[in-house]
Amino acid sequence: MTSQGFGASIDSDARKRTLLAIGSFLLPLLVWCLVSYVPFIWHPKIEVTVPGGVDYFQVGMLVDKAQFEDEAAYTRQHNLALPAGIPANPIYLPAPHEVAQAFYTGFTQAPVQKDAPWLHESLWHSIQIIFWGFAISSIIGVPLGILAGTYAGVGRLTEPFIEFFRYLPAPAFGALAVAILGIYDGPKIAIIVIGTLFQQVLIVANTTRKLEATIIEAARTLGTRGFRLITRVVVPGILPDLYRDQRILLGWAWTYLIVAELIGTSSGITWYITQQARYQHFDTVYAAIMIIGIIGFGTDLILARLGRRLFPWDRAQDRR
Amino acid sequence: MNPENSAEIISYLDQSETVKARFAKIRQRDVILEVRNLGKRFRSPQGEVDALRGINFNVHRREFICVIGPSGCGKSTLARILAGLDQHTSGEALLDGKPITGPGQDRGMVFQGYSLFPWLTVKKNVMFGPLMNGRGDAESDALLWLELVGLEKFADAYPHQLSGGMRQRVAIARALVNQPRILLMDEPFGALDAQTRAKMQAHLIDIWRNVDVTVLFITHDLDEAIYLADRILVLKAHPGEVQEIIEVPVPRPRSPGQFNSPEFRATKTRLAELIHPEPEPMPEDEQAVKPHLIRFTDVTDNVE
Repeated sequence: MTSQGFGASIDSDARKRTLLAIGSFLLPLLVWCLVSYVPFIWHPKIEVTVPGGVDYFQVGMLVDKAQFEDEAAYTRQHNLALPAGIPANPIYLPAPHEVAQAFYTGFTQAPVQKDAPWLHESLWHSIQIIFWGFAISSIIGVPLGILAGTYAGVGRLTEPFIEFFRYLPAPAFGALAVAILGIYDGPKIAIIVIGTLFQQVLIVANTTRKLEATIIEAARTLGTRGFRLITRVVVPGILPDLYRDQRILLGWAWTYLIVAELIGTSSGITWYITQQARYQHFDTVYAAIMIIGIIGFGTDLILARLGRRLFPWDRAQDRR
Repeated sequence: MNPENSAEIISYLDQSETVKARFAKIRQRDVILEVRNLGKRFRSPQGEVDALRGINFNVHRREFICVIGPSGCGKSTLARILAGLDQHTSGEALLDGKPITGPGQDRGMVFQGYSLFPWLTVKKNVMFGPLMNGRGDAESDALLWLELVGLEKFADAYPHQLSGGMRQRVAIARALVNQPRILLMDEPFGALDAQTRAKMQAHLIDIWRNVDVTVLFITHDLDEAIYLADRILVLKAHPGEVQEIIEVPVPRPRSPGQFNSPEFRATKTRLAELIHPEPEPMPEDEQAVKPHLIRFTDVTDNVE
């Protein structure tokens, strides 16, 4: 009975899963809207609309509620014009519509400062840093990981040191990277490589080791020897799992981006964010942070989709 | 005297004239595989262990040999040594007079687990061997062998889309397409359900009858061994040694109907004696497990 129930509900299960996934995004948005648009929820500040008799008040100024009450009481006592204001949130919490607007203007309007890069220019620079960092890391890490996973000797020779090295925080190499590679993109890419490569070797080696031993033995009895065992059996055998590892590691590379971009001359999306925060354009800051999330999550979704195309035999992907 | 009683008197050593003639014919064929004093010793936490010791036997061309024995008798190790996947530590194994040192395409192997390459379609799985050895028209060879195992319709399917029995058929085709001198099968049907297993046994006999190949088949199933084999190599465990080589007196062609024939039952009785002798003392960790049953249901609620 129950098993039949499970079988029949596969379709509605998929629908429910999509709805819940959308809900997981809508829920935080709803909380944000509530805090932003319902005046009696939080709103610890007062935005002055009429300065009244308070000499330092200006229209649009944000003051603490308590301070506003004090000043209002003072003007009442001295029969001065009463100030007026509406409840407001601190400047660091812009409302959703403001962020949405900043998101749009970030791409359509030139930045306030002269010569400052546009949002998309900053973003493109960051993406290039990520790409090169991840590409260099993969060119070294994936083959080394596969070798270490296939040949016990290579694994024993490399892995203890890598295991040690991966505990050294990548940003700690920032100053060193600048000394060696200059102040521009070199050290940034180096930080991403250092942050990704060592994990990558270990993860890929582990994935390689998990390949069914019988598959390699079967290939050997069919006359496969030497290097062809790697190119024709090990690599295709681990490819779907390797692809999944790479997706996770790409996310890892993004987390190192912000640190990397602060090294040397700051650049890219990080520079954009710090610059906007300096001018208290917090709506733009949120928009820029969100776009990192959108790009990261978006790439992963696309790669997951692509993976299902590329590896039709991989059943681990059906389960998602 | 009824036939039931006369059946009991038959010994597994009694062979009818046709069976005798058949064995005489087999013995006249060339020896393909010669195993001389083969031993495998490995180190374990308990010290040196003989997985195999002093194994001697010959296999003639197109003979069907089954290797049977209790678990831990080293029958899988024997197959792996012959396949070249494991190294023996003493003695020698000769295939066509040449010592076996590593894997080679003159020996095909079918494993118990699913050893097909999951990233290749059925056809490409079968083509793998010929491509590796750079031999002939791999594709037409593969299709030919797929037809032989009845899977030509599934040529473009992936292994995970096939049932367990079908996958083993592909594994057999993949091993045979290399045209090995000997086909080593390590409990190939062990993971299949009884019905599929019976079908696969019949199918294997059909293949063996029509293809120039010698089969060495590892199993722990007595019926399977008797049903398939010309001779059965009975191993014992700790250390793995040959106990007896039995010439199966059941005439060919074989059919499932023979499972109740006197020769079949006599052979099975003998095999059972060899493989399950007096009960061994239980290992200590097993003795420590003493279930203490508590009544978890109503006292009046009895099921028997």
